[in-house]
Amino acid sequence: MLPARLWRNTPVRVGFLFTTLFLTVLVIAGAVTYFSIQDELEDRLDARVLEEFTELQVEYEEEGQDTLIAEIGEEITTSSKGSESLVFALISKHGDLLAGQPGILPLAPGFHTIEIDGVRDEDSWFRIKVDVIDGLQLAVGINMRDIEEVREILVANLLTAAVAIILLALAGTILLTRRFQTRFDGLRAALQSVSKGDWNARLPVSSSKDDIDDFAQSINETLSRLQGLMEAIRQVSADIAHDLKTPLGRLFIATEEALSVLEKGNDPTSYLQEINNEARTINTTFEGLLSISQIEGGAKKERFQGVDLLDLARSIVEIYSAVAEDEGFCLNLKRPAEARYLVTGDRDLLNNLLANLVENAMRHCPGGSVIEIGLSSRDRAVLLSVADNGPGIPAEERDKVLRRLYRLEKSRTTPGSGLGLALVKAISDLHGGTLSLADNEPGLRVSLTLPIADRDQA
Amino acid sequence: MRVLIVEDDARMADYIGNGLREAGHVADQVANGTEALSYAEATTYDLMVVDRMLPGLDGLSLVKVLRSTKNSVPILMLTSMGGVDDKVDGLEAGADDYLVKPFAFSELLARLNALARRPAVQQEETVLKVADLEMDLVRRTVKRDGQSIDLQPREFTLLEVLMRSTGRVNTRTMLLEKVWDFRFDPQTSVVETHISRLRAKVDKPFDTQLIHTIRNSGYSLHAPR
Repeated sequence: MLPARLWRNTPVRVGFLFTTLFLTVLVIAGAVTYFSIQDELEDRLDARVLEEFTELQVEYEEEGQDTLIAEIGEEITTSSKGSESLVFALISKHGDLLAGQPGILPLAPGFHTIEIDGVRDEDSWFRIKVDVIDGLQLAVGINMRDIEEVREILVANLLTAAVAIILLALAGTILLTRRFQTRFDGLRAALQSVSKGDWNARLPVSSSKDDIDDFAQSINETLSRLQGLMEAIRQVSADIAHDLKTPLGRLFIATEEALSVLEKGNDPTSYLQEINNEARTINTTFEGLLSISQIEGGAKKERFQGVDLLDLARSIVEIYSAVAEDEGFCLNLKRPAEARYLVTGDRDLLNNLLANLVENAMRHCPGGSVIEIGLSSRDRAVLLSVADNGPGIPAEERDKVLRRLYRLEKSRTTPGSGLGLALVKAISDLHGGTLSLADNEPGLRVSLTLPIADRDQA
Repeated sequence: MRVLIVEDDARMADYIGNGLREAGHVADQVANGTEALSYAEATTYDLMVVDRMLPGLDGLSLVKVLRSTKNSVPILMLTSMGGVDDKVDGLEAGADDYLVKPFAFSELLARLNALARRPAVQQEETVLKVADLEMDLVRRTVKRDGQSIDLQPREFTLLEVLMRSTGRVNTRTMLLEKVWDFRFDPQTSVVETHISRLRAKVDKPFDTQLIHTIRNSGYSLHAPR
């Protein structure tokens, strides 16, 4: 029927299906109309023939055979001039033609449809009524030309409609197929580039916003998410290579040295201590990387619950104030009037976030610095900030410090894994927050904006 | 104590087993969950150490099965993953505590000791006493040698935790969890600082020391020996 390749094309299939459907309906409707009109017309013809026949029969019964023959002759003359084309025939008991058209009788009594030659110089079908009156056989017929004409017009119209439907369907199918083919080709091309490794490729989305666009849109969102994950994996591998290989190298050296010291019969304790420390460092970095990827990969949000940030900030101040005091920092909490700062989230992770920011400030600021945790709320959001008056971060470095293992050159010597702010960023992202680093003039201000929780989630 | 160690890594199992035997306990080692079930059926253990990743029946399922058979042996779960979800999964399955690998043996021992002594029925004590140190939990007052000591609320909680587990070791992480509900490993010496402030009030004015630092492990409050 259709070539297999075309048949796999959805618009072609739909076009074909609908054309078939329309044609079927047309044929059924056409047939019903045709036959009912034909029946109706035949009934009318029969009535007309019967009327003519009855008239002649009455004539015979009242006036006799001769008058009937004369009447038939008269009728033939009249009919040949009128619009109607009537035929008559009368034969005797013995089959002799008494009047009218030869070649019709004898016939069985009743209605007949027969072809008669040469009436008004044309061959035609006639509807004939035959009956026997006192042994005489009388036939009255009427030309079926009208029915024929109606029939022809009907058939012609139906055929025209069918052709129109087929042409329209074909045109529509071609148009639709082309349109869809162009769009599908676009989608396919984009997906193919993705499968070839171009993660930046996106499916084209037209301005019409139809179902295919919706579909393309969701695939694009999926692609973006996948791209993020791919980049995260790539980043983790690079990070591991970068920051785990170095301590692993040192660990390796320390074990070698411990072994050679042992061979010489000396005490390897200091090397073993070093090995232990390196292993600890490696583990800390590794665990940090793991938790960041776990959080970035989307930790389970069903465990989220209402968390009061004021509560959280207070307990952080309580835990850290003693250490801060000992190291000469001033750690305090600043907030406007008594209010609740309720967000939806993971309490442990948010705790982790705030502790990281405070520790970060303590690590990078000189003694005597002021570290201030700030809380405020503005339209449907809670603003949590940790600000210090320490050395701050140069504007061009602020985005980079949110990356894993990135450390300012000058802080290479201070302790820390370089994962703290990346973890903070990951936790903030998980909670749908926005994190920004700004100049506190002097110092650093890290601000986190979190959507406020609905009251019923409290 | 009789401890069942369920761990498929032989090196790790030996490390825990030998450590526990050295500390004077009896330790049985099995390498998979199914075996662990028959051991737990046959013997009454005081404690179980269960690795989360096991061949066959995994750690989480093992704990669930044990709990469904009304076995209430205290269970410490070992996990390699330190994610919040992993910890919560373990506790929800019915484990009593968890520890992330790799860990220091002292941390494991301190946590096992804490688990083993966990009273089956929480008896409501109103006064805690260690040597000449007395804590009134109702009036929230602390006295030593008849002198009253003024403590901040959190210092009070810290001292209460140490007194309740007198003679046993509390590691830094255990204290962070119990006193501050803090599940995060601080890079700064927060616990040390709080302990030293508490010491300044509880120990320093007196002749004998009650709060002891256990090297590479944690803190313990006990009467002089």
